[in-house]
Amino acid sequence: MSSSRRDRWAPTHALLRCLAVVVLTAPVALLWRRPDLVVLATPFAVVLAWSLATRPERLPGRALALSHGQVREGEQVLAVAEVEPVPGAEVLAAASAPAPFLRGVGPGAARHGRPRDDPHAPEGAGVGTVLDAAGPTVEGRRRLVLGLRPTRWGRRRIGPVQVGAVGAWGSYRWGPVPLDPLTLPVLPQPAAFDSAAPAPHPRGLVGAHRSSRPGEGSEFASLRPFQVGDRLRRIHWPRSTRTGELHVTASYADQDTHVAVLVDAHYDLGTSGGTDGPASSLDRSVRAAAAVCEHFLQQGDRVSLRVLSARTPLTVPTGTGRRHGVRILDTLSRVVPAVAEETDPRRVHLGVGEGTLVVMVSALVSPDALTQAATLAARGLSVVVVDALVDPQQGGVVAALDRDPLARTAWRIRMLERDREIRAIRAQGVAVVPWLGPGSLDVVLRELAHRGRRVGV
Amino acid sequence: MAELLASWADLRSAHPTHLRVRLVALLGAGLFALSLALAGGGGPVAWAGILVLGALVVYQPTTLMPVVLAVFGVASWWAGVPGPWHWALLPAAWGLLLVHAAAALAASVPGQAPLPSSVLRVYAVRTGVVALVTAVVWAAAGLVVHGPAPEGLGVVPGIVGLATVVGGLVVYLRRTARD
Repeated sequence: MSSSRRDRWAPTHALLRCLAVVVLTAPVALLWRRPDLVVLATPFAVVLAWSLATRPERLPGRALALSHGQVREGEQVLAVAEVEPVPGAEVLAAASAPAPFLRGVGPGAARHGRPRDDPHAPEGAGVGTVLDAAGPTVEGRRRLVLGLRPTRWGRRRIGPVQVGAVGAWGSYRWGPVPLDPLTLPVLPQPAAFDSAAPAPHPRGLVGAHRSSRPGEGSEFASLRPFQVGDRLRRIHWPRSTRTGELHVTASYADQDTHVAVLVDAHYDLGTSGGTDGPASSLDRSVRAAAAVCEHFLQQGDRVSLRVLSARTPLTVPTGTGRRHGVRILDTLSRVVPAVAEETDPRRVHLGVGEGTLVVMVSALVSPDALTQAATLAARGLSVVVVDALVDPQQGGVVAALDRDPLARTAWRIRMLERDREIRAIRAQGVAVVPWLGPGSLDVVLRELAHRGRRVGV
Repeated sequence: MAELLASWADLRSAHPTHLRVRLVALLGAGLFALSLALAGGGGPVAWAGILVLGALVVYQPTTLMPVVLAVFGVASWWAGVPGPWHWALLPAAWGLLLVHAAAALAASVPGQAPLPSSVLRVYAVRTGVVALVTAVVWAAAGLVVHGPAPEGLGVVPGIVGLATVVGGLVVYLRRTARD
């Protein structure tokens, strides 16, 4: 039924029921002289008269809005359907259509400010709410609030939300009228990540990493004779007294670095269960990339993002600060996996220069990503590849769950090929580490920093 | 078949408050069947039929099942109960009223949404008002049948009385809506 046909007050089965009982019973009661049938038909006659007397005529105004412009996965958002309580309308209802990775949240959650999943709303099920039309209004409209919790990052479609109203005794119904769906950006929840290791080749102006050059900083470098321009507070008095010549404490400069994060979104392997279930390879990639970006941005480094995907070849230029972090998360939420069949990775301009730390997050299944990593390493850049196919809980690649033995065998063969390819790019100087949460990159970053210092100093 | 499966999924995922409303419909069907039996009408087939139809109303309140139950109930009474009046008429009419009100409410709102207590209160009060009107008509019919009313008028006084009550209600509701 089209929405225009639903956008009117129409009689329901309840009204037809009353009409049928009264019309069928009254002649029989008269012809057969049965007052008992009149008594039986009395409730229907009264309800019929009541319904006709209070028949609503005006169509309610309606609108749909969301409580937040964007949320992180796992957080709650409210879809607010506003319906005008026209005369004659007694019960207002709203329901959202089922959608993947959207879970209904209990009605008490909005009041108490913490999510409480509705046990009657399974994953992907629609949720609904019912209100008495006689309650308090906001600008002449009743607000029907639907609590929703997106369980996966991405662009989630909220709706279409169906709204409807019924008159007295449910005899007349308006709707359900679909309200246009709204798109909600759901930002990835960064995985737990922290690193105590320094960036390998800091080359910026200010930052938290120790550079290889002496300068204004906090880390001790050496004691040297006083030069014109040195600050008096840097004079090292014990050494100066012993030698009879002024000496000062020299330090290494603190600098920032450029971290280029590459996300391989060619494939999404595995099944995603959202925040409450198992993670697919793209889930791990996006959350790991978000964690790495947030970590380095908090350190004051410059971070850029490049998504390798045929459908969403997204790029975020170099930047720093919290707003830049939100921009990166918003870009990550738009990632759609697709294989780029004819792209030559060597021709893709990634905007990385000397001293850049390249963190590639990849399932290492696409040859494009492997070639890209090898090409960057060949240019002398520090490249760390985070293997997103490894499940942090199991510590290894998830086995194929396919029931077809041929498919399982094919998966095992592909994994053997993948192991060989990983060994090959490791041989070219590319560090490959599994994503295991906090400290995943520490060993590799320290190794790269030492390597750089041995070469550079 | 797909509709039956959808109804089953709807019933299984329905909110407890919604399920309670649907159970009231079954309760109404049971009350009607009991009243029919007490009035000496019908038989095991008719009583079981009413209960089965009541269960189907619980299963599919949005379909024509409630009207089938109401028409079948009235027809069973007409065919099975001999007298023009019986005291069990009142609980029988109340049973049909419960079936109608519960089915109307259950069909009006999405099953997965909790029904607010204010809506349940409105329906309870209104059902009580209609039950009261039904009791008055039942008493009037009893007086007409067993009292000193003039013979030969049959159901005409009952219908006139019912029409008067209904007309008064309509005028009252119209005025209330205008205010």
